[in-house]
Amino acid sequence: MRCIAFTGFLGSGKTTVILRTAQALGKHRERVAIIENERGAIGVDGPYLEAQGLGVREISDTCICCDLQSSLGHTVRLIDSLYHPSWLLLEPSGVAHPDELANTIEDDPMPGTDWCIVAVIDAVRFSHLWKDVAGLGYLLRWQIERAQLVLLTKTDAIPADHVDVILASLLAVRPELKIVPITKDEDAGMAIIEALAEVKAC
Amino acid sequence: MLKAGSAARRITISEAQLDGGSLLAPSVEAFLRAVDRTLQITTPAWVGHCKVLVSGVTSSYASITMANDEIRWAGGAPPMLEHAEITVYAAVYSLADGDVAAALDQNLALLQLPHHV
Repeated sequence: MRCIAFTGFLGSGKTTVILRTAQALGKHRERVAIIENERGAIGVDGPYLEAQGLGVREISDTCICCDLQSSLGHTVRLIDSLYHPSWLLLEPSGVAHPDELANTIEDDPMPGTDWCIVAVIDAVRFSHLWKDVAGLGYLLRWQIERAQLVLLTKTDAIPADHVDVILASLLAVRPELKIVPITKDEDAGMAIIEALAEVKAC
Repeated sequence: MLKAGSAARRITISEAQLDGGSLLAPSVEAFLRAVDRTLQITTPAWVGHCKVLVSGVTSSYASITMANDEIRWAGGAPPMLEHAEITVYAAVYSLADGDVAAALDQNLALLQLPHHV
């Protein structure tokens, strides 16, 4: 089972990325399951994805990377045994630390799973966050550090030369990093699964 | 783990309140702009995610992700609806749950009855 964890800040576009990825995989007749981890008892992302016809299991009111580490392994094994998906898409909450999430995955080996961490980075807010070196910018750098792939979202909302500046900033941190600029268009899903095919697992 | 305050509210809008549904999208957008203004009083450069899910025959949601952000719709603006359930969710870095809940509650009336803009 190919498991993809999409890290990123609150509002970075993780849910849209997951929707597009699931839709593209569905066109290839792949079985896809989604785990949503939202803070609070009432969520929006899970119900929205379900309304688009996708199967979603929610882990609510906790953080999978630090509060209940065993929940992730348990949920993954449960989903595998019940639905036998070929792909599992995981949306951690926007407060999850990418390094702690990676450690959670590494510390709880799940047989038959092949994990990949994808950082979802919002092009519109990038400059604002990148400058905050001691705050959210610090976490942004960790997202880049622990990712096998970066999806740069909302690139249609900024000028093309700004996209080039962001790409240069990201590659300055990790020159070998694969970065795919995307928009919310439906064909973004195909670009995402093509990129996932090129990157190695964790 | 990062600190972020979050809160959610769910309300049901009846057929009479929707007035044919055409005014729902402007009301949602007015609500988001009002929440943004409220959050900016204490946190001028807030970062997070404030979103409004409109569930009827179809589902769509509008959201903003930082102070003075443009409103974005996912799934398209809501079509004419006879009945809708609205879920409001906000999570903002560095704030407490109570601060976020207060910002939602202070402006929730904008969603109760669609208004003309």
